[in-house]
Amino acid sequence: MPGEKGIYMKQRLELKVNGQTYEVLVDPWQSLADVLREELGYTGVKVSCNSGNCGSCTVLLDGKAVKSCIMLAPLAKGKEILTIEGLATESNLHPLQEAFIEHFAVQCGYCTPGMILMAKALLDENPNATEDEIREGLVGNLCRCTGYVKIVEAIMAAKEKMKVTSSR
Amino acid sequence: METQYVGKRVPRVDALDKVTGQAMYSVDVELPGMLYGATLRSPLAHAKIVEIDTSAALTVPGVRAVVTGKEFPFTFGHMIKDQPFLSIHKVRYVGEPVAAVAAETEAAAQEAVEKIRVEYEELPAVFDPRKAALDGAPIIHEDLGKYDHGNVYELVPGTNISTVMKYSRGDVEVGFSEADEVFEDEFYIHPVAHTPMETHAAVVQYTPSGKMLTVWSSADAPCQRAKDLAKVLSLSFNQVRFISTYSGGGFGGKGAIVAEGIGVALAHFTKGRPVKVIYSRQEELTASQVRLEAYLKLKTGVKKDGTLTAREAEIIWDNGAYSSKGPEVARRGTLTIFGPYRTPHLTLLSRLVYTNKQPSGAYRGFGTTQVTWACEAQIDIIAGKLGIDPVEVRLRNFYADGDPYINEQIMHTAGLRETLEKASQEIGWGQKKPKTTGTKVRGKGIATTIKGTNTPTDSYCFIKVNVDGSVTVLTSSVEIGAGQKTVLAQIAADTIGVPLASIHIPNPDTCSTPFDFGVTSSRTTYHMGNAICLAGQKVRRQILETAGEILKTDPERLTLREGEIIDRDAENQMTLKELMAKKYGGKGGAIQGEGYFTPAGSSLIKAKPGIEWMSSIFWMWATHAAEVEVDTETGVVKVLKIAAAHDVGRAINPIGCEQQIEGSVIMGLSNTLFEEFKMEKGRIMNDTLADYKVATTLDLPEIVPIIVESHHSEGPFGAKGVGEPALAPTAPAIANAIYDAVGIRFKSLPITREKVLAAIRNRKP
Amino acid sequence: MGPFEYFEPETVEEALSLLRKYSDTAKVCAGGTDLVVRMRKHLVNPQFVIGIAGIRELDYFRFEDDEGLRVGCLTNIRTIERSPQLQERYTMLPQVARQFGSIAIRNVATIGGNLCNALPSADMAPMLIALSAKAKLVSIDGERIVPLEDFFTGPGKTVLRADELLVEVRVPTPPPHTSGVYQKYTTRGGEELAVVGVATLVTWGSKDERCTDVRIVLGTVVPAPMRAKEAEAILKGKRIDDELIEKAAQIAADESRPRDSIRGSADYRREMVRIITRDVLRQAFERTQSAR
Repeated sequence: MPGEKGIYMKQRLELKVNGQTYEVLVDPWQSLADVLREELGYTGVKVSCNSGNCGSCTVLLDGKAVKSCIMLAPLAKGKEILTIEGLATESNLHPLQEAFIEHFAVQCGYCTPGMILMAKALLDENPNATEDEIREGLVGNLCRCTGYVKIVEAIMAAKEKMKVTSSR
Repeated sequence: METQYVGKRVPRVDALDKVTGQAMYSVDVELPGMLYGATLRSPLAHAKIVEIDTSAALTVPGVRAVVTGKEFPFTFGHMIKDQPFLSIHKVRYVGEPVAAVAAETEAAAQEAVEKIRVEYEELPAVFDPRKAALDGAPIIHEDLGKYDHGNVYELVPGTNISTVMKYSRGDVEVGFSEADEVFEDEFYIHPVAHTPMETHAAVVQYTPSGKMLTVWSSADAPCQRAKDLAKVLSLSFNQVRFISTYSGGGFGGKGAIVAEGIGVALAHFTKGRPVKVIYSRQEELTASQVRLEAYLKLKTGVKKDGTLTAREAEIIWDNGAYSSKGPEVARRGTLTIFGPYRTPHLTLLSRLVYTNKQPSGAYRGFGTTQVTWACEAQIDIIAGKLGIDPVEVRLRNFYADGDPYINEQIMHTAGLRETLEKASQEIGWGQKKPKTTGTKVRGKGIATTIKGTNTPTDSYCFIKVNVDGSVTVLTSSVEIGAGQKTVLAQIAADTIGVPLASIHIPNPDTCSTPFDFGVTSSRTTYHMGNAICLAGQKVRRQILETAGEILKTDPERLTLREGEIIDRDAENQMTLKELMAKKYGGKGGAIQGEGYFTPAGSSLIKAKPGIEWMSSIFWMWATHAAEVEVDTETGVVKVLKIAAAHDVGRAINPIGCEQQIEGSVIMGLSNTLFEEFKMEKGRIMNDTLADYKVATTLDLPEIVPIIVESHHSEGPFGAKGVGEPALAPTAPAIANAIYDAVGIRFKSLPITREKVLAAIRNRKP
Repeated sequence: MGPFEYFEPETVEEALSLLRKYSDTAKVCAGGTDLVVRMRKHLVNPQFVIGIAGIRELDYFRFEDDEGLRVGCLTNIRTIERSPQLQERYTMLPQVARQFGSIAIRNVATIGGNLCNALPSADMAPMLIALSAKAKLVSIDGERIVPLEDFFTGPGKTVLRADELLVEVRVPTPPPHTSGVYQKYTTRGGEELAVVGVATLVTWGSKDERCTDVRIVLGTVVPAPMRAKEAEAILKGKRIDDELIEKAAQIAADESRPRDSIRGSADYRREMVRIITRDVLRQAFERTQSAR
């Protein structure tokens, strides 16, 4: 019987990523991060600690931030997954992406995709988030380069832009 | 010179790649036929290898190579060639690579690693460098005397001491006799992990037919690493190719061969198939590189008015099991123990010692961080005892412009006092303290650091103005995250006179980008910037001469600005694009120029013969002023504010400088208060980011970065550097602030809550 | 991690059949935020993983007039944190949830997972025990209700049998004039496993300032979450003032059994128990005062 004799079959998994539906064959012990990176080429999803402590792997599932490195891939079935690659439209960057550039919130850039997505989840849920709420919301995203100062500034700036665009 | 970009708010040129997820790091490299590497690591701190049985590993499906030190018996080491790619005969630290596997999948490689059987014969281990330096300590490198090494390093064969640095000036006994008071203090600074968000990773390919070794990695000095590998593998420099990816953070840790080494060993046995090696976070924390820990003894003589008369320093540096860049830290980095202070009599004994722990090497500051800890804590001890304001003591002793450095190099100190004055002003130095609220007490502290750059070192670049007027700058300077690409593009744009957007600086590739010493020592803006100035001026001259031909006018009348060639009378105008089309449009062509820069020969570094090497082409000063709040009930130290004033010479990219200052303040704060390795018998117990704690968004103080510009006479547009010294003053500033708050002097790091609470409890009333 | 065979039962019955069949060679996975981390570290190596996240009927919470609150085991910690109804009727539960990990963890972690993994630092446990919550455990053979106070038996250990599933947590309605506060002590800003966790629930008499009931539950500094009963005893029925709170806090610290670990020394943790117990008692006191 499969499993009991050490024969493990890959499973078919349908994933919706950045608006596209994919069918992949995965081992159930592959993390969502690994599947997104290795099977689907979304290398913007970064793996840094593989233990859910740094947030570099943050992606959005139905708008909610999750740490994809500790999520078994099958758990993402049926959800709308957003990675950093899905944030910009063909013609425009998302206000958060623009703000990160304008406000110098990017240094080595490794934490950046996770930070931006976490910020998006925070602001989408709470468009009037205060600076304290933003800092608290980012506590699960580590950065070693920036000291977070300009990251928070960029998010506060993007917040205003996002309010303007959504009110149209 | 009026600039369009230098000194202005220019967004980082690499930011777009990074915010869209397009930036490629070493972990993202995918190649046809690529295999995955995994490493078997020693569970013991010191042991002989009796036998390795890899037979079971070879049977795992998907395994293509299993390699041990027997099959690949090479060693490397930039300064002392003491480190095997894979253990040979013995292991010297928990985590040392003993064997490696390349397989079709990561899982298969890992499975095979777990099936390798190793028999060890345990040896006594030593973890304290002070003990390791004594006679009778277990010898870690029996063949120390036989290792190739840089001839400036004084090894002591038959011991664990791999570098001895002695230096004297004047006569400290005279100095101490002239002193009114003599202070003797001992300090300790702990090892910390670089903790870049991107762990060490590399892809390596070795094609046996052409003997071509290609390495994709974010090594911070690809030319140096290519040189090292060529030498140890008996290849020529042009048979080794480093292709740089973006770097997810280095902080010095990517200045040695780490993941690359495993890849190189494996790639020799995979018949030309590339091998990817990614360090797990656990490997990153326990088996890559750490900051050298150090025991520092400082004896200082002072007069009643606080003037320093003599300083005697004795330092033991812990190199862990292999040297990496430890020797240079112990030789050169150590010199700034004397601080930016004029002191007539000095003596230094610095020793680098092996222990059975993870290798230590370059870490932001390169020794300065460690010595500043001791120096600046003691200055405050002195100030306190003599009853002089700590700011005043520093100002009294600072080098003045024209003073000789410890090797007689003339100091140009513009900027030094300003950093102290501005930082202390920003923190409200001297203002009355707010009343104590409940159990919480506030205090302020200050510290100043001096850091030089490795001098002299060389940078070469190549600038191409392409057939359509676009510009390519070829440089081996890696974008390690600190904004190198942007700064260099700004300098190129203003030097040539073209729009920034028309410049492309590709990532380094050592087969085509010219030699650079490396992105280390805060040297890139200055050295590569100057090289780009030289190349840019050449290219600009050629453009204007060509324009003169075409416009039939004297080139002296022409200027090039934002890609437009303008005649003095503003009549004749053409764009660079038009010029290139006219001259080269039909059959193609380019205007090219090379730049070679070295500070060697500059009058600025003249010094006492024999010790010119101690000079620095530029000195970076920085002062941090910290305000803390200590909760006397819990020991929690909350840093409220840090004013960080840095003399950068000229801020080529001012916000870029702020980025560096802010990031380093937090890194310094994190190192000081949260980061600590919990070790048991040489094994690091807290090997995840859950338990090795780095600062989060909720740990931030208010940070005020202050940029001081002293305008270096030979720097590009007057620039110096900023990144390396940036966190050196943070730890002593915080410790001095804690002293101001609760009257407790901490001489060893880290300053954890438990230590603070215990000290408060034990304090005499 | 792995290999293992992965099942995705669609109903509770299916899950229970699998648990009966594979027993202790299997692990249940809800969000996986604890399990995946432990599997990666090779602390657990199940041959079978039963993923129950798809059993949507287990993700709910509702209020029953007599019985109080019933929370399905798959309720995410974030749901608990953000629920306006819970904020109104069981305000101490969102207060706990807010301190749990970080948002991205809370979005995935479940109340069932937190309790069944039974880390000594499990954040949800102390307050639920203080609230006299009960767990409904089901197996193919039937169901049983276990008070949470008796659920934990040691680090990572519970009374849950290998063929049982914790499906629901039942929290009785707190009496009127009751306040609860949980505080955890961490080494730096946030997203940490607790080094010390203390929950308190205090009920005040309607007329005077006497405390009619009090629970103090310690987490992390004990092998399993534990009521500090001696500390409770000196507060119950008394008029509460600062001095009494200090005394209770000291007794709670003495009752705790912290160990030296890489996260903190026993001595320091014991001292933090005292300080945090004192702080949560004061806060609970203040809340009831202001609620009047």
